[in-house]
Amino acid sequence: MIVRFTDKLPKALYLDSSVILNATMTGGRFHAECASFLRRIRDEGVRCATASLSLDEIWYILIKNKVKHLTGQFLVKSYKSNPNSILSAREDVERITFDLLMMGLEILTVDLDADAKDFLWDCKLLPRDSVHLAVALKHRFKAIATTNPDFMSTSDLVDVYTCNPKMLR
Amino acid sequence: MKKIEEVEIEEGYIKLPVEFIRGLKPKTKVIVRIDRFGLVIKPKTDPVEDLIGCVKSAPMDIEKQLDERAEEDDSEIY
Repeated sequence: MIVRFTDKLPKALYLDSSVILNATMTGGRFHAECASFLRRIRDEGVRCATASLSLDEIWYILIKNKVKHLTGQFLVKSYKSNPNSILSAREDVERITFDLLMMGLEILTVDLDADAKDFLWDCKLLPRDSVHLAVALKHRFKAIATTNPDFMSTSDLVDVYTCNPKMLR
Repeated sequence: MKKIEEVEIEEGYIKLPVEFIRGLKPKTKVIVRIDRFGLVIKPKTDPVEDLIGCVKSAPMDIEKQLDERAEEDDSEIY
């Protein structure tokens, strides 16, 4: 089922990196909605988790945008000529990772198994998304929060919480 | 916050420079953690509020950036 961010919250929720990034970055299309959602999660004491893969995604986007902002170059090009360029994002990455741990977000180990592969075909998910779904289900989460429309195909398996109007039509 | 390069340990306590302590308001709660860079002491804040909007950025499509990560990397390399 597709569920609005403003609807009743579950007891436990798998947070996709898109929600965390939108709340963190002021320019995110869904910044206000994701910020309010994180506050509700905190206020209602919802147990939250994400896969370690999300940290990779969050760090990547933070570093990529910082490097682009400072050098005008894409991350990999800048990194190949000057690996130190990623240090510009260190403060943001450290701060956000620390905040995520302090807010009690559980970081789940990515354990690739047959389920993740099956979700590629069964739900027509891209590999990273199929890993997120597999980790969430393996840890018995029945709800995922995301702004990524690709997760619409998983709504038979989990409740998909979102604020993305494209998914709520 | 002022960065402390060195701290002393005396009888099981960590001795911090007076200037550092003076930089904190009275009754400020702090969080102490040890990471690979050393001892980190930060005033205690609500982590959710600290996280929200902490990166000022231009308008961006985060979903697209996450989706297109692989292609973007490839196009940058080759």
